[in-house]
Parts: sequence; C-alpha cells; structure tokens
Amino acid sequence: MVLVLVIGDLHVPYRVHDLPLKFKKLLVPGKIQQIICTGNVCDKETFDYLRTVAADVHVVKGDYDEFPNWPLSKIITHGPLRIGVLHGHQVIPVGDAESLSIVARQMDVDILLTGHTHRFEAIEYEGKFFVNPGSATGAYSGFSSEDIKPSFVLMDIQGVVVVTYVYQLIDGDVKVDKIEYRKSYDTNRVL
Amino acid sequence: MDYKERLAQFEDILSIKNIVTEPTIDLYKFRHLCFRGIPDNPGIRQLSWKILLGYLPPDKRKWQSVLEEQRSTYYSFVRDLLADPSEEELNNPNVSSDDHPLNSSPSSKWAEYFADNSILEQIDKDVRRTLPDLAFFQLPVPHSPLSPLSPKLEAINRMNGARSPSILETLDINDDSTSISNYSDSILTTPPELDAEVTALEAQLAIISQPSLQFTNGNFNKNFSCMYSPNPFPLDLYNNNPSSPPLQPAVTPIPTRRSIFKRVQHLNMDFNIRGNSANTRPCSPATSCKSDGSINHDDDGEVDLHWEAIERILFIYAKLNPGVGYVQGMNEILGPIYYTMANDSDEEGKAHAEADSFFVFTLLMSYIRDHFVRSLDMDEATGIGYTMKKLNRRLKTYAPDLWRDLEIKSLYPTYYSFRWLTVMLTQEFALPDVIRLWDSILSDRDDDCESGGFEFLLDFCCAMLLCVKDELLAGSFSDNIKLLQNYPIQDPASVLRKAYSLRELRLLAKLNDEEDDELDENSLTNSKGEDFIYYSSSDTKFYNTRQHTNNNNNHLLRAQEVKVKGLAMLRKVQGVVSGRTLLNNSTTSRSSTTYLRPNSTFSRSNILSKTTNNTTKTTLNNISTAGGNRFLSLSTNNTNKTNITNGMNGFANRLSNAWKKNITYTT
Repeated sequence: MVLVLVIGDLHVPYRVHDLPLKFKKLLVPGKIQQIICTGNVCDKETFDYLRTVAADVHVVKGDYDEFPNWPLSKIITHGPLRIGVLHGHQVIPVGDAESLSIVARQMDVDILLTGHTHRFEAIEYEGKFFVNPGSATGAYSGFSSEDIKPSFVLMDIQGVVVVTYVYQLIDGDVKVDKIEYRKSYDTNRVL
Repeated sequence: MDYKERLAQFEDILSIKNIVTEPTIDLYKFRHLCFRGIPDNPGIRQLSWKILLGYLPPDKRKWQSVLEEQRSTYYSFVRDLLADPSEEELNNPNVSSDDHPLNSSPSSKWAEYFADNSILEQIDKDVRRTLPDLAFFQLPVPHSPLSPLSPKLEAINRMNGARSPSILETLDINDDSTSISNYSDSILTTPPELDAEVTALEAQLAIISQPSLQFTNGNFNKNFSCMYSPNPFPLDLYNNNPSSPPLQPAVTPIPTRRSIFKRVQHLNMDFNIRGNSANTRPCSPATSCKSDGSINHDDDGEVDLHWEAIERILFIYAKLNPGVGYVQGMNEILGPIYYTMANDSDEEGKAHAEADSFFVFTLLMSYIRDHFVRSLDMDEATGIGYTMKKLNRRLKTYAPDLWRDLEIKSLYPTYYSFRWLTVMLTQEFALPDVIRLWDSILSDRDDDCESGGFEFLLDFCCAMLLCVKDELLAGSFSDNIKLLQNYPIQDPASVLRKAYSLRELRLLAKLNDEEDDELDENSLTNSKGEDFIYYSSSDTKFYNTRQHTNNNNNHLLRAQEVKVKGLAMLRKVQGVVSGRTLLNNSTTSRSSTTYLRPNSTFSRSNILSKTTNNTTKTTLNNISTAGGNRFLSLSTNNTNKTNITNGMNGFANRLSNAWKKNITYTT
C-alpha cells in the first residue's frame, strides 16, 4: 500500500508565488511515501519543499525548469505496475489522448503521468491509465482560456490496483474524488 | 516438601482427570504451591500461569469454553484491527466514503491508520531487539493446522516453489514439532497438476487416522493431514466422548495477519531481514496476479517469526488500550510470557500460544498498568513513583541502616529500582531465572491492594539490595549506581532465599495488624532520629489495634483464619532464625540480639536495649503496656550474626510473642 503523490506545474515563483494554503495543510510529512513530479517546479526552494513532504522524489524536466540535469522522462516500477512520467511539452498535440498513448506504448508503461496542460485528467484508454494532475498552484497556462483550478493527485498503489484520489481546490474548498484503475492482463498480449 | 511430592501435587491439581470429583481448584492453596516454584515438567507452567493470572477460572469444567471464547476473540481482533483502510476501500467499492489518505480529521480511518503507524514503528523497533541472545524469537512459529494465524500448507508450498521427494516421506509419523517447521521450510511443493492428487492422498490419510485418533503429544501431524479432510474432525483432546464439538469453527487463515509488517517494512529496507519480502520478488503475472485482478496476498504462505507474533500482540494491545498505548518495556514483559506459552507441550496450547499470551499479558498488565502511565509517575497513590516509594519504605523497615546510608548518598530508588519494577526483573537475570522468579512473583499477588501490587516483587527487590549490602555501604554514590544497574549476583537462588524470609516477616507483621508500608507523614519528615519517631508514631496504630484486640470476636476470627496460614510460616521462620521449634511456651532465653546496629543513636540503644533472660516476662509486658515498646529488643547476647538476622530475630521474637497472644486468646 504505497501512497504516491503526483504533482506538477507549480511555476513557483514565476507565475504564482506559492501553493494554496489548504493544500499545504494537507501535505504533511509522514503520510506519503513517494512523490512524482511532472515538471515545471521552477525553483530550488519549491523542490526542497517537496523533499520535506516525502523522502523519495522523482521529477522530470519541464520546459521552464531551472535544473538542467533532470531527465526528460522516467519510468518507475511498483510491483507489477510500470509508471511512466514526462512533462508533456514534447507531445503534440498537447494533451491528446492518442498521442499520449503512442508515448505510453513506446515507453511500455501501464500508467502515464503527464502535465503541461494545467488541467486535471484521468483517462483509461486502451487498457492504459493516463493521469494529468493539473497545476498544483493554479498557474496561468497558455492553452486554456478558463480559470485553472489548483489540483493534485494521490495514488494508492496496491499490487495491480491503483486508487486515485484527486484533490481540487474549487471555490476555496478542497474537494476529493476517487477513481480506481485495475491493470488487466490481456490474453492476446505478448509478455 | 520434596520435589516429587510437589510435582505430584501439581499434576493432581492441574489434571483434568478428576474433573468430576474436584472441579474447582483451591486458589489459595495453589498459589502457595506455586510460590515455591513451578516444576519444569511439560505443560505445567503454562497452565499454572494461566490460572494464577486469572485467565483460566478455578473451575476446571469451564476451561474448554473459556479458552475457545477467548481465542476466537483474539482472532477477531486480528482480523478487524489489522486491516488497512486502503484494502477496505477496495473490498467495498460501492460504499462511498469521504475518506481520503490525507484526511486529518480524527474520525477518518486514514488518520487513524497513520497514527497507528507511529505506534507500530516504535513497537517494531523494540520487538526486534527483544531478548536478542535467544535464538527462539528469531525462529519461525511452527505451523499448526489449528491456528488461523498459520498459513495453509498449499500457500507455503507456493511460496517456496521447489520440488519435493514425496509427500508421504516427509510426513514422518514419529516426529516432533521441529520436523514440521522443516516441512514448511524444506522446499515442498506440488506442481499444480498434482494438487488434486495430493489432496486426495491426504484425505485418505485423514480417513485412516481419524477413528484412531487419540490425542497425544507425538501425533499431532495426524491433525496436520486432517486439515484437508472434508469435515473438521473433532479434535479430541481429553480422551473423552468423540462427539464433542469441533474445537475450531474455522481454520481459515486470517489474511490481514501480516499487514502490519508490510507497514513497517520501510524501516528495515537496508537489512532486508525477511529475504523473500513481497517487494523484492519479481512478480510474474502467472503466479502473483489472478486474471480477475483481485489482490493477491503474496505473503499468504509466509510463516511468522516469533518476534512478529509478539509485535502483533503488542500492537493489538496498544490499539485496544489507547490509555496506555505502547510503552517501551512492555515487550520485555511479554517476552517471558510468550516464550512460556509457545513452548507448551500441549499441541493446542502451542498453536494458540499467541492468543493465550495476549490475554495473559493483558491480565498481567491490568495489575501493573499504572507503572506505564506517564501521568501517574508523580502520583502519590499509584504509578511507578508510588511503588518505588513503597519499596523504599520496605527497605527502611528491613534494614534502616542501609536505608539511611542510601538516603545520605541521595541514592533514590528511581535510579535503580525503576527498571527492576517496571519490567519485573526481566533485564536483571537470564530468561530461565526470570521465569522461575515470576512463578513466585505471580503467585504472591495482593488482591486487597488497590494497585494490585506484586508484593513479592518488592520483597525480592529489597532482598537484592540486602544481598549486596556490604558493597553498597562501602562504596560511593557512583560505585553504588554502577553496582545496582548491573546487578552482580547472577544466580538468584541466594537472593530468593533472603526474599522468602523477608516475606515471611512481612506476613507475620501483617498478621499482627501492623502495616509496615503505610505512608507515615511524620516518619518521613521528622529529622530527629527517624526510626524512633517512626515507631512512636505507630503508637496510634497500636492503640487502635489494642481496641481492636479488645474486640475479641474480630480478633478471634482473624486469628482463626490466619492461623492456618501463619502457623507453618511462623514455624519456619523460627526454625530458620533460632534453630529451635516454636510453640514451646517455656521461653528460655533465646540467643537473639539487639535489633539495632551497635552504632545506632545512643538514645535508641539506651532506651531500647534491655537484657532479660526471661522473654516471657517481656512479652507480658508487651501485652499489658500500651506503649510503643513493641520493639524492645529481647536480647541477651550480641552474637556475630549479621545485622539483617538481628533484625529478623527481633521481628521474629516480637511477632512470636504476638502470636502467642493470639494463641492464648483462642485457647
């Protein structure tokens, strides 16, 4: 039962100065075992803050990040599940399900975590799970004209089942949703 | 009473053969018997401890039902309290709840889960280090078909995944328990296609063995094979009617039993203690994941280690007793209990060792729980502070010189006795000795005392101090501390003897309506010759008791009821002390000595030392005069006895006089 925080697109300090207070209250150290950041943290201090929440932080380079030595994409394994992470600015059209599924097939992962759109999404497509945690700070994005709602995702991984909790800050209140994904074993699949 | 006699008595009391003639155990007599030590014969100690602490009632007819009930209660605890909130969510997908992992409200299951985790981490750290010298705690719990905490054989086989010669060869008929753990460890498996055959074979075995099943210690592997039989056969432990109901309603393994270990796995990742932990094994889809995607408990087949069982017990105790929680030291107390229960020769007892240990531990903790509650540390009437003060007062009674010396050095009991008292001496002596000491300690429990005090424990601690008295008096503060924290006498036999004599003195004092341990304000604060004041302030008590004695009836009754108890003890004390038999009313001069050390305060010796040859006269004086002259020493010669025997002599004589007083009333 591993709790993994998926967070990204904070853009601190360039677009937003800090995480929402209510989110910060939720993110207490000790509960979360791993953090996967989809990129655009943008700041050393913010990265250090993430490290105080959990010891194990995986991060990939986004287009506005200041750390040059972060990888562009990463694959993390939890038991039978393979989780792939990349920022998403490499994928065109941005946020397109089919293009993302091409990437997922290339990386051979069951779950693909991307960002860049600043919008929360959780789609199960062709047996794979695509999660976009959105922007944790609600930072401005060029792609969507509507207001960005701050959000992040917490995944509870147990074997082949992932229960995804989405935390969104809507009208000043934190709302939580739950989604379940189960990895299926296709009989036609070549292992 | 020699050893064989005692053994016979134990077997007589504990056996269930005479369940019709003598269904109830006389607890008083039993306690008295246990006090001298419980024989090491198989099965006796486990039953005795269970009876002493109240787990098993004195009525033998109720044992079976009590055991069943309690054990199933424990297993339901395991099932319920160890569950993960995440698994629960998965198992009830239709139940919508607002709970989420970051929920910090106290009603949230997740919040509770994380709070428990901190307790669990603490327990885990302590338990791994429990009694590290003994290999026992690192060994696996032997497999048993009776216990729902034992993994099914198929699961073990799946885990280990290697071939076996043949099932029949490994089922060694004449073997003892060790073979079974070999059985599970030793790479025994059946490839899936043979599973059906295996079960058929074993079913046949079950049928063969069933009618002839008489439970004896060596044959429990028959029970083993019967695990696969279609009906759970009635395990007939007591050679009686075969129609007795099955002992175990369900022997299905509890899936959550190992969940707590997964929770703290991260603590010991570096060491990789459990080599085949779920995270490190690569899971191929065929074995670990079923096609419907249900969660597979990878460690269904993993056998528990003994210390893991202890961790479970402590965790459940902490969850059920949030007032005390878990305090470091509880693992030390549970250690000997679990060790004793797990080494039961009785198959059923061994299978349910964990459940029984839990309840025995809970009962024991209910008496000493106050020692672990931090808020009661400073309390006047309960808590460890109170017990240490009590110990100090007792020391003062038995050896005021030593007491005074320690006070002068500011060597408060907190420095040495804290560990002795909270973990009940488990850290001072080796485990076999601790177990023997606990026989005595557990049997001398004072039911009247509100704190449920283990009086003998205090006596023993005093004895420990007295045995190293000379070194203590000679050494400095730091030497003393070093000495007491690494107690030099490793063999407790001599200390035990001294403790017995101290206890007898104390009991006689109690018979005499005198409470040595009462908190006396005057005695503690008055600086002028404390001992003297102590005694004189007990005058008021003496007056009270005199009124009491004037009420003959009460005294008579009391004398009657304690006569049986006290007489034997008194005789023994007299025998020990003076080498002469009691109850000869011709009290010729005994070679008793002054109560005090020669260099005590001069006023004391002047006032109190009297040399009389005829002790009867003095006794009559004692009875008639109401003054606090009770402690007039009846001394003649100063022999070369040590001071403690001086004290004992004085006590013994004084008390024998009082005892005679009782006797004269009753005749």
